[in-house]
Amino acid sequence: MEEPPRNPKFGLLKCPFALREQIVRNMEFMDAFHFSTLSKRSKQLVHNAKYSVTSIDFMFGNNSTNDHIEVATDDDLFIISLSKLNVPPRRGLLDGLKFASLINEPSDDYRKKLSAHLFFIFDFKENSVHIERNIESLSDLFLWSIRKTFHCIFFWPTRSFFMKHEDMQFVLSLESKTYCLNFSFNNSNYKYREPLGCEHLEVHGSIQWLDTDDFLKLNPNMRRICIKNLPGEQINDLIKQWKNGEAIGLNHMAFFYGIPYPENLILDGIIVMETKLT
Amino acid sequence: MSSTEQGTSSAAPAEPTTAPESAAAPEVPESFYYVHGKDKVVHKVSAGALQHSALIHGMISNLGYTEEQAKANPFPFENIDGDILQMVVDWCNQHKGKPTPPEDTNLPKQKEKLFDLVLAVNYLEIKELLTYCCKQVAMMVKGKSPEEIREIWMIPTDAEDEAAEKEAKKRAGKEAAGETAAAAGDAK
Repeated sequence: MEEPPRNPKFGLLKCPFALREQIVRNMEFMDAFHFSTLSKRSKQLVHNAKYSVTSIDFMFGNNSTNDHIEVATDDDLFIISLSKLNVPPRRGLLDGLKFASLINEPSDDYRKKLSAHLFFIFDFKENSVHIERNIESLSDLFLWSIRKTFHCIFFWPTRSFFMKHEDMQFVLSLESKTYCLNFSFNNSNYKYREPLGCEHLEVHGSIQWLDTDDFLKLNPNMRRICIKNLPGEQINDLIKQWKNGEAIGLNHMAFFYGIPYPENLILDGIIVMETKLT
Repeated sequence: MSSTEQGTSSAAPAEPTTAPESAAAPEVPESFYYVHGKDKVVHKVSAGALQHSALIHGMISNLGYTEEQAKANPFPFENIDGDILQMVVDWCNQHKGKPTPPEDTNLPKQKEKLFDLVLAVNYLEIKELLTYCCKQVAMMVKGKSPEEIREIWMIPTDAEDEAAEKEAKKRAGKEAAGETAAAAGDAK
Protein backbone atom coordinates (compact mmCIF):
# COMPACT_ATOMS: atom_id res chain seq x y z
CA MET A 1 0.00 0.00 0.00
CA GLU A 2 1.30 3.46 -0.90
CA GLU A 3 1.96 5.90 1.92
CA PRO A 4 0.05 9.20 1.73
CA PRO A 5 2.28 12.07 0.52
CA ARG A 6 3.99 13.73 3.48
CA ASN A 7 3.83 17.44 4.00
CA PRO A 8 7.05 19.15 2.88
CA LYS A 9 9.02 20.60 5.79
CA PHE A 10 10.24 24.15 6.25
CA GLY A 11 12.30 25.14 9.29
CA LEU A 12 10.68 28.51 9.86
CA LEU A 13 12.47 29.24 13.11
CA LYS A 14 15.84 28.77 11.39
CA CYS A 15 15.14 31.82 9.24
CA PRO A 16 16.34 35.29 10.27
CA PHE A 17 13.81 37.21 12.39
CA ALA A 18 12.82 39.71 9.70
CA LEU A 19 12.20 36.90 7.23
CA ARG A 20 10.02 34.93 9.68
CA GLU A 21 7.98 38.05 10.26
CA GLN A 22 7.51 38.67 6.55
CA ILE A 23 6.32 35.09 6.11
CA VAL A 24 3.84 35.51 8.97
CA ARG A 25 2.48 38.71 7.42
CA ASN A 26 1.76 36.72 4.25
CA MET A 27 -0.31 34.11 6.10
CA GLU A 28 -4.07 33.96 5.99
CA PHE A 29 -5.75 35.27 9.14
CA MET A 30 -6.93 31.89 10.44
CA ASP A 31 -3.57 30.23 9.70
CA ALA A 32 -1.77 33.00 11.62
CA PHE A 33 -4.16 32.49 14.54
CA HIS A 34 -3.57 28.72 14.56
CA PHE A 35 0.17 29.24 14.29
CA SER A 36 0.12 31.63 17.28
CA THR A 37 -1.38 28.90 19.49
CA LEU A 38 1.54 26.50 18.97
CA SER A 39 3.94 27.91 21.56
CA LYS A 40 4.98 31.06 23.41
CA ARG A 41 7.55 31.66 20.69
CA SER A 42 5.06 31.41 17.84
CA LYS A 43 2.65 33.71 19.69
CA GLN A 44 5.40 36.29 20.16
CA LEU A 45 6.40 35.92 16.51
CA VAL A 46 2.92 36.81 15.24
CA HIS A 47 2.87 39.75 17.64
CA ASN A 48 6.28 40.98 16.45
CA ALA A 49 5.26 40.62 12.81
CA LYS A 50 2.61 43.33 13.32
CA TYR A 51 0.08 41.37 11.28
CA SER A 52 -2.38 44.02 10.19
CA VAL A 53 -6.13 43.27 10.25
CA THR A 54 -8.83 45.68 9.07
CA SER A 55 -11.10 45.60 12.11
CA ILE A 56 -12.46 43.75 15.11
CA ASP A 57 -15.98 44.43 16.39
CA PHE A 58 -17.40 43.08 19.63
CA MET A 59 -21.14 42.58 19.24
CA PHE A 60 -23.35 42.19 22.29
CA GLY A 61 -26.73 41.66 20.69
CA ASN A 62 -30.23 41.72 22.13
CA ASN A 63 -29.75 38.11 23.18
CA SER A 64 -26.56 36.97 24.89
CA THR A 65 -26.55 33.73 22.88
CA ASN A 66 -25.81 35.88 19.81
CA ASP A 67 -22.77 37.62 21.28
CA HIS A 68 -19.90 37.41 18.85
CA ILE A 69 -16.74 38.94 17.45
CA GLU A 70 -16.56 40.10 13.83
CA VAL A 71 -13.08 40.19 12.36
CA ALA A 72 -12.76 41.79 8.93
CA THR A 73 -9.64 41.19 6.85
CA ASP A 74 -8.97 42.64 3.40
CA ASP A 75 -10.97 39.88 1.74
CA ASP A 76 -12.85 37.98 4.40
CA LEU A 77 -15.16 38.30 7.40
CA PHE A 78 -14.88 35.92 10.35
CA ILE A 79 -17.75 35.75 12.81
CA ILE A 80 -16.68 34.07 16.04
CA SER A 81 -19.29 33.12 18.60
CA LEU A 82 -18.92 34.32 22.19
CA SER A 83 -22.05 32.66 23.49
CA LYS A 84 -22.35 31.11 26.94
CA LEU A 85 -20.53 27.87 27.65
CA ASN A 86 -23.57 25.60 27.44
CA VAL A 87 -24.99 27.15 24.28
CA PRO A 88 -23.69 25.84 20.93
CA PRO A 89 -22.81 28.61 18.46
CA ARG A 90 -25.45 29.74 15.98
CA ARG A 91 -25.16 28.14 12.54
CA GLY A 92 -22.55 29.77 10.36
CA LEU A 93 -20.60 31.14 13.31
CA LEU A 94 -17.12 29.94 14.18
CA ASP A 95 -16.88 28.37 17.62
CA GLY A 96 -15.07 30.79 19.94
CA LEU A 97 -14.88 28.20 22.70
CA LYS A 98 -13.02 25.84 20.39
CA PHE A 99 -10.59 28.58 19.37
CA ALA A 100 -10.00 29.53 23.00
CA SER A 101 -9.26 25.89 23.87
CA LEU A 102 -6.27 26.04 21.50
CA ILE A 103 -4.71 28.85 23.56
CA ASN A 104 -2.48 27.43 26.25
CA GLU A 105 -3.16 30.00 28.96
CA PRO A 106 -5.17 29.81 32.16
CA SER A 107 -8.37 31.84 32.26
CA ASP A 108 -11.69 31.66 34.07
CA ASP A 109 -13.54 33.09 31.05
CA TYR A 110 -12.89 31.71 27.56
CA ARG A 111 -14.17 34.95 25.97
CA LYS A 112 -11.56 36.93 27.85
CA LYS A 113 -8.79 34.50 26.93
CA LEU A 114 -9.69 34.54 23.23
CA SER A 115 -10.14 38.32 23.02
CA ALA A 116 -6.90 39.04 24.87
CA HIS A 117 -5.05 36.64 22.57
CA LEU A 118 -6.47 38.26 19.42
CA PHE A 119 -5.59 41.76 20.65
CA PHE A 120 -2.07 40.63 21.51
CA ILE A 121 -1.20 38.86 18.27
CA PHE A 122 -2.95 41.04 15.66
CA ASP A 123 -2.63 44.69 14.82
CA PHE A 124 -6.25 45.77 14.32
CA LYS A 125 -6.58 49.03 12.42
CA GLU A 126 -10.00 49.65 13.98
CA ASN A 127 -11.92 48.21 16.87
CA SER A 128 -15.41 48.83 18.09
CA VAL A 129 -17.97 47.59 20.58
CA HIS A 130 -21.70 47.38 19.93
CA ILE A 131 -24.02 47.01 22.89
CA GLU A 132 -27.62 46.33 21.99
CA ARG A 133 -29.06 45.16 25.30
CA ASN A 134 -29.09 45.97 28.97
CA ILE A 135 -26.05 44.16 30.34
CA GLU A 136 -26.23 43.38 34.03
CA SER A 137 -23.17 44.75 35.86
CA LEU A 138 -21.98 46.43 32.71
CA SER A 139 -18.72 47.60 34.29
CA ASP A 140 -17.80 43.93 34.97
CA LEU A 141 -18.04 42.89 31.32
CA PHE A 142 -14.98 40.78 30.42
CA LEU A 143 -13.96 43.10 27.57
CA TRP A 144 -13.07 46.09 29.75
CA SER A 145 -10.34 44.14 31.57
CA ILE A 146 -8.63 43.70 28.18
CA ARG A 147 -9.33 46.99 26.47
CA LYS A 148 -10.76 50.37 27.36
CA THR A 149 -9.89 52.23 24.16
CA PHE A 150 -11.97 51.91 21.01
CA HIS A 151 -12.46 53.58 17.68
CA CYS A 152 -16.20 53.40 18.08
CA ILE A 153 -18.67 52.60 20.85
CA PHE A 154 -22.25 51.96 19.81
CA PHE A 155 -24.65 51.91 22.71
CA TRP A 156 -27.82 51.32 20.81
CA PRO A 157 -30.26 49.00 22.56
CA THR A 158 -32.83 47.41 20.29
CA ARG A 159 -35.36 47.32 23.14
CA SER A 160 -35.96 50.41 25.20
CA PHE A 161 -34.77 50.28 28.77
CA PHE A 162 -33.77 52.94 31.20
CA MET A 163 -30.07 53.41 31.52
CA LYS A 164 -28.64 53.69 35.01
CA HIS A 165 -26.56 56.84 35.39
CA GLU A 166 -23.57 54.85 36.71
CA ASP A 167 -23.66 52.68 33.59
CA MET A 168 -23.78 55.74 31.37
CA GLN A 169 -20.93 57.30 33.29
CA PHE A 170 -18.96 54.11 32.86
CA VAL A 171 -19.55 53.91 29.10
CA LEU A 172 -18.52 57.53 28.65
CA SER A 173 -15.40 57.01 30.77
CA LEU A 174 -14.09 54.53 28.19
CA GLU A 175 -12.00 56.05 25.45
CA SER A 176 -13.49 56.23 21.99
CA LYS A 177 -13.14 58.37 18.88
CA THR A 178 -16.84 57.92 18.14
CA TYR A 179 -19.84 57.52 20.39
CA CYS A 180 -23.19 56.49 18.95
CA LEU A 181 -25.70 56.56 21.78
CA ASN A 182 -29.40 55.82 21.78
CA PHE A 183 -30.89 55.03 25.16
CA SER A 184 -33.59 56.22 27.54
CA PHE A 185 -32.54 58.00 30.69
CA ASN A 186 -35.14 59.18 33.18
CA ASN A 187 -33.06 61.02 35.75
CA SER A 188 -33.78 64.62 34.72
CA ASN A 189 -31.47 66.08 37.37
CA TYR A 190 -28.34 64.28 36.23
CA LYS A 191 -25.93 66.15 33.95
CA TYR A 192 -22.78 64.72 32.43
CA ARG A 193 -20.09 67.39 32.63
CA GLU A 194 -16.87 65.44 31.99
CA PRO A 195 -14.95 65.71 28.71
CA LEU A 196 -16.03 62.99 26.28
CA GLY A 197 -12.68 62.81 24.54
CA CYS A 198 -14.31 61.81 21.26
CA GLU A 199 -14.25 63.33 17.77
CA HIS A 200 -17.69 62.23 16.69
CA LEU A 201 -20.78 62.26 18.88
CA GLU A 202 -24.13 60.95 17.80
CA VAL A 203 -26.99 60.95 20.31
CA HIS A 204 -30.53 59.76 19.75
CA GLY A 205 -33.00 58.90 22.52
CA SER A 206 -32.62 60.81 25.79
CA ILE A 207 -30.46 63.93 25.66
CA GLN A 208 -31.21 65.83 28.87
CA TRP A 209 -28.14 64.27 30.52
CA LEU A 210 -25.76 66.15 28.20
CA ASP A 211 -24.55 69.41 29.69
CA THR A 212 -23.84 71.75 26.78
CA ASP A 213 -22.31 74.59 28.87
CA ASP A 214 -18.75 75.04 27.61
CA PHE A 215 -19.21 71.75 25.78
CA LEU A 216 -16.82 72.56 22.92
CA LYS A 217 -14.23 73.98 25.30
CA LEU A 218 -14.32 70.68 27.20
CA ASN A 219 -14.21 68.72 23.93
CA PRO A 220 -11.79 70.61 21.68
CA ASN A 221 -11.18 67.60 19.42
CA MET A 222 -14.80 67.32 18.38
CA ARG A 223 -15.20 67.14 14.59
CA ARG A 224 -18.76 66.00 14.07
CA ILE A 225 -21.89 66.29 16.19
CA CYS A 226 -25.26 64.77 15.38
CA ILE A 227 -27.96 65.10 18.06
CA LYS A 228 -31.68 64.44 18.09
CA ASN A 229 -34.16 66.35 20.27
CA LEU A 230 -31.69 68.86 21.71
CA PRO A 231 -33.62 71.98 22.86
CA GLY A 232 -33.21 75.01 20.57
CA GLU A 233 -31.56 77.17 23.28
CA GLN A 234 -28.80 74.61 23.69
CA ILE A 235 -28.27 74.45 19.94
CA ASN A 236 -27.96 78.23 19.90
CA ASP A 237 -25.39 77.98 22.69
CA LEU A 238 -23.39 75.32 20.82
CA ILE A 239 -23.38 77.43 17.64
CA LYS A 240 -22.08 80.41 19.63
CA GLN A 241 -19.31 78.27 21.15
CA TRP A 242 -18.38 77.12 17.67
CA LYS A 243 -18.46 80.70 16.35
CA ASN A 244 -16.19 81.78 19.23
CA GLY A 245 -13.50 79.44 17.99
CA GLU A 246 -13.88 76.49 20.35
CA ALA A 247 -13.18 73.12 18.69
CA ILE A 248 -11.50 74.42 15.55
CA GLY A 249 -11.65 70.99 13.93
CA LEU A 250 -15.44 70.85 14.16
CA ASN A 251 -16.82 70.74 10.65
CA HIS A 252 -20.30 69.32 11.00
CA MET A 253 -23.19 69.85 13.39
CA ALA A 254 -26.61 68.35 12.71
CA PHE A 255 -29.69 68.58 14.92
CA PHE A 256 -32.99 66.80 14.43
CA TYR A 257 -36.34 67.44 16.02
CA GLY A 258 -39.93 66.29 15.44
CA ILE A 259 -40.94 69.78 14.28
CA PRO A 260 -38.70 72.37 12.62
CA TYR A 261 -36.64 74.44 15.02
CA PRO A 262 -37.71 78.13 15.06
CA GLU A 263 -35.02 80.07 13.22
CA ASN A 264 -35.09 83.05 15.61
CA LEU A 265 -34.34 80.73 18.55
CA ILE A 266 -31.55 78.79 16.92
CA LEU A 267 -29.83 81.83 15.46
CA ASP A 268 -30.58 84.28 18.29
CA GLY A 269 -27.63 86.71 18.57
CA ILE A 270 -25.90 85.19 15.55
CA ILE A 271 -25.48 87.26 12.40
CA VAL A 272 -25.89 85.17 9.28
CA MET A 273 -24.62 86.23 5.87
CA GLU A 274 -27.25 85.23 3.40
CA THR A 275 -25.93 83.75 0.22
CA LYS A 276 -28.01 83.77 -2.92
CA LEU A 277 -27.45 80.87 -5.22
CA THR A 278 -27.24 81.90 -8.83
CA MET B 1 37.34 26.85 -10.93
CA SER B 2 34.98 25.40 -13.51
CA SER B 3 33.47 28.15 -15.56
CA THR B 4 30.25 27.89 -17.55
CA GLU B 5 28.51 30.97 -18.79
CA GLN B 6 24.77 30.80 -18.50
CA GLY B 7 21.59 32.79 -18.42
CA THR B 8 22.18 35.46 -21.01
CA SER B 9 20.84 34.34 -24.35
CA SER B 10 17.15 34.23 -23.45
CA ALA B 11 17.32 37.57 -21.70
CA ALA B 12 18.68 39.69 -24.56
CA PRO B 13 16.75 42.98 -24.78
CA ALA B 14 14.44 43.43 -27.78
CA GLU B 15 15.72 45.73 -30.51
CA PRO B 16 13.90 49.08 -30.65
CA THR B 17 11.67 49.08 -33.72
CA THR B 18 9.84 52.42 -33.72
CA ALA B 19 12.55 55.08 -33.75
CA PRO B 20 14.31 55.75 -37.09
CA GLU B 21 17.90 54.60 -37.07
CA SER B 22 19.36 58.06 -37.62
CA ALA B 23 17.45 59.56 -34.64
CA ALA B 24 18.25 56.71 -32.23
CA ALA B 25 20.62 57.46 -29.36
CA PRO B 26 23.93 55.64 -29.60
CA GLU B 27 23.50 52.25 -28.00
CA VAL B 28 25.41 51.77 -24.78
CA PRO B 29 26.79 48.25 -24.67
CA GLU B 30 25.30 46.26 -21.85
CA SER B 31 27.73 45.38 -19.11
CA PHE B 32 27.92 41.91 -17.63
CA TYR B 33 29.08 40.60 -14.30
CA TYR B 34 29.87 37.14 -13.05
CA VAL B 35 28.63 35.39 -9.93
CA HIS B 36 29.19 31.94 -8.50
CA GLY B 37 27.76 29.93 -5.64
CA LYS B 38 29.02 27.11 -3.45
CA ASP B 39 29.60 24.86 -6.51
CA LYS B 40 31.91 27.48 -8.13
CA VAL B 41 29.93 27.37 -11.37
CA VAL B 42 30.12 30.89 -12.77
CA HIS B 43 26.99 32.59 -14.16
CA LYS B 44 27.26 35.53 -16.50
CA VAL B 45 24.50 38.02 -15.73
CA SER B 46 23.75 41.43 -17.18
CA ALA B 47 23.82 44.49 -14.96
CA GLY B 48 20.14 45.02 -15.87
CA ALA B 49 19.15 41.64 -14.48
CA LEU B 50 21.28 42.13 -11.39
CA GLN B 51 19.44 45.32 -10.57
CA HIS B 52 16.81 43.15 -8.90
CA SER B 53 19.31 42.37 -6.17
CA ALA B 54 19.85 45.38 -3.92
CA LEU B 55 22.96 43.70 -2.51
CA ILE B 56 24.67 43.09 -5.88
CA HIS B 57 23.43 46.37 -7.30
CA GLY B 58 25.15 48.13 -4.39
CA MET B 59 28.33 46.15 -5.02
CA ILE B 60 28.55 46.90 -8.75
CA SER B 61 27.50 50.57 -8.64
CA ASN B 62 30.37 52.71 -9.89
CA LEU B 63 32.61 49.68 -10.11
CA GLY B 64 33.45 50.44 -13.75
CA TYR B 65 34.82 46.95 -14.48
CA THR B 66 35.84 46.12 -18.00
CA GLU B 67 34.56 42.82 -19.42
CA GLU B 68 37.92 41.22 -18.63
CA GLN B 69 38.03 42.55 -15.08
CA ALA B 70 34.45 41.38 -14.44
CA LYS B 71 35.29 37.93 -15.78
CA ALA B 72 38.39 37.71 -13.66
CA ASN B 73 36.56 38.79 -10.48
CA PRO B 74 33.30 36.89 -10.18
CA PHE B 75 31.26 37.68 -7.07
CA PRO B 76 31.45 34.68 -4.77
CA PHE B 77 28.36 33.64 -2.85
CA GLU B 78 29.75 30.68 -0.99
CA ASN B 79 26.68 30.46 1.24
CA ILE B 80 24.34 29.79 -1.70
CA ASP B 81 24.00 26.38 -3.34
CA GLY B 82 24.75 26.33 -7.07
CA ASP B 83 21.28 25.18 -8.12
CA ILE B 84 19.66 27.84 -5.95
CA LEU B 85 21.84 30.57 -7.43
CA GLN B 86 20.89 29.25 -10.87
CA MET B 87 17.19 29.65 -10.00
CA VAL B 88 17.79 33.20 -8.78
CA VAL B 89 19.80 34.13 -11.88
CA ASP B 90 17.09 32.67 -14.12
CA TRP B 91 14.42 34.68 -12.31
CA CYS B 92 16.46 37.89 -12.57
CA ASN B 93 16.95 37.30 -16.29
CA GLN B 94 13.27 36.56 -16.88
CA HIS B 95 12.27 39.75 -15.09
CA LYS B 96 15.00 42.01 -16.44
CA GLY B 97 13.63 45.50 -17.04
CA LYS B 98 10.05 44.33 -16.59
CA PRO B 99 7.54 45.27 -13.93
CA THR B 100 6.97 42.19 -11.81
CA PRO B 101 3.43 40.78 -12.02
CA PRO B 102 1.34 40.37 -8.84
CA GLU B 103 1.36 36.58 -9.27
CA ASP B 104 4.58 35.01 -10.44
CA THR B 105 4.28 31.70 -12.23
CA ASN B 106 8.01 31.50 -12.86
CA LEU B 107 8.82 30.58 -9.28
CA PRO B 108 10.45 27.24 -8.73
CA LYS B 109 7.81 24.81 -7.53
CA GLN B 110 10.04 22.42 -5.59
CA LYS B 111 8.98 22.88 -1.98
CA GLU B 112 12.10 21.13 -0.70
CA LYS B 113 14.25 23.87 -2.29
CA LEU B 114 12.10 26.68 -0.94
CA PHE B 115 13.95 27.04 2.35
CA ASP B 116 17.34 27.53 0.65
CA LEU B 117 15.81 29.73 -2.01
CA VAL B 118 14.12 32.05 0.46
CA LEU B 119 17.33 32.41 2.48
CA ALA B 120 19.32 33.17 -0.68
CA VAL B 121 16.79 35.69 -1.92
CA ASN B 122 16.69 37.33 1.50
CA TYR B 123 20.49 37.53 1.54
CA LEU B 124 20.67 38.94 -1.98
CA GLU B 125 17.88 41.40 -1.14
CA ILE B 126 15.68 40.69 -4.15
CA LYS B 127 12.56 42.38 -2.85
CA GLU B 128 9.96 41.21 -5.36
CA LEU B 129 11.14 37.61 -5.44
CA LEU B 130 11.27 37.60 -1.63
CA THR B 131 7.65 38.70 -1.53
CA TYR B 132 6.63 35.79 -3.79
CA CYS B 133 8.73 33.32 -1.83
CA CYS B 134 7.28 34.43 1.52
CA LYS B 135 3.80 34.10 0.10
CA GLN B 136 4.63 30.60 -1.10
CA VAL B 137 6.01 29.61 2.32
CA ALA B 138 2.89 31.02 3.99
CA MET B 139 0.71 29.04 1.57
CA MET B 140 2.38 25.80 2.71
CA VAL B 141 0.20 25.93 5.83
CA LYS B 142 -2.97 27.34 4.29
CA GLY B 143 -6.03 25.71 5.86
CA LYS B 144 -3.93 23.37 8.00
CA SER B 145 -4.67 22.48 11.60
CA PRO B 146 -2.34 23.78 14.33
CA GLU B 147 -0.64 20.40 14.67
CA GLU B 148 -0.12 20.16 10.90
CA ILE B 149 1.44 23.64 10.96
CA ARG B 150 3.69 22.51 13.80
CA GLU B 151 4.82 19.55 11.72
CA ILE B 152 5.37 21.44 8.45
CA TRP B 153 7.22 24.37 9.98
CA MET B 154 8.91 22.25 12.65
CA ILE B 155 7.73 24.37 15.58
CA PRO B 156 8.82 23.00 18.95
CA THR B 157 6.44 22.89 21.90
CA ASP B 158 7.04 25.14 24.91
CA ALA B 159 8.47 22.15 26.79
CA GLU B 160 10.92 21.43 23.95
CA ASP B 161 11.91 25.10 23.79
CA GLU B 162 12.54 25.17 27.54
CA ALA B 163 14.61 21.98 27.39
CA ALA B 164 16.67 23.39 24.49
CA GLU B 165 17.21 26.62 26.37
CA LYS B 166 18.38 24.75 29.48
CA GLU B 167 20.74 22.68 27.35
CA ALA B 168 22.13 25.82 25.65
CA LYS B 169 22.71 27.47 29.04
CA LYS B 170 24.45 24.36 30.33
CA ARG B 171 26.67 24.27 27.25
CA ALA B 172 27.48 27.97 27.52
CA GLY B 173 28.35 27.50 31.20
CA LYS B 174 30.69 24.62 30.37
CA GLU B 175 32.37 26.61 27.59
CA ALA B 176 32.84 29.61 29.89
CA ALA B 177 34.34 27.35 32.56
CA GLY B 178 36.68 25.83 29.95
CA GLU B 179 37.80 29.28 28.80
CA THR B 180 38.44 30.38 32.39
CA ALA B 181 40.51 27.26 33.03
CA ALA B 182 42.49 27.80 29.81
CA ALA B 183 43.12 31.44 30.72
CA ALA B 184 44.33 30.37 34.17
CA GLY B 185 46.62 27.82 32.55
CA ASP B 186 48.06 30.49 30.23
CA ALA B 187 48.66 32.80 33.18
CA LYS B 188 50.72 30.09 34.91
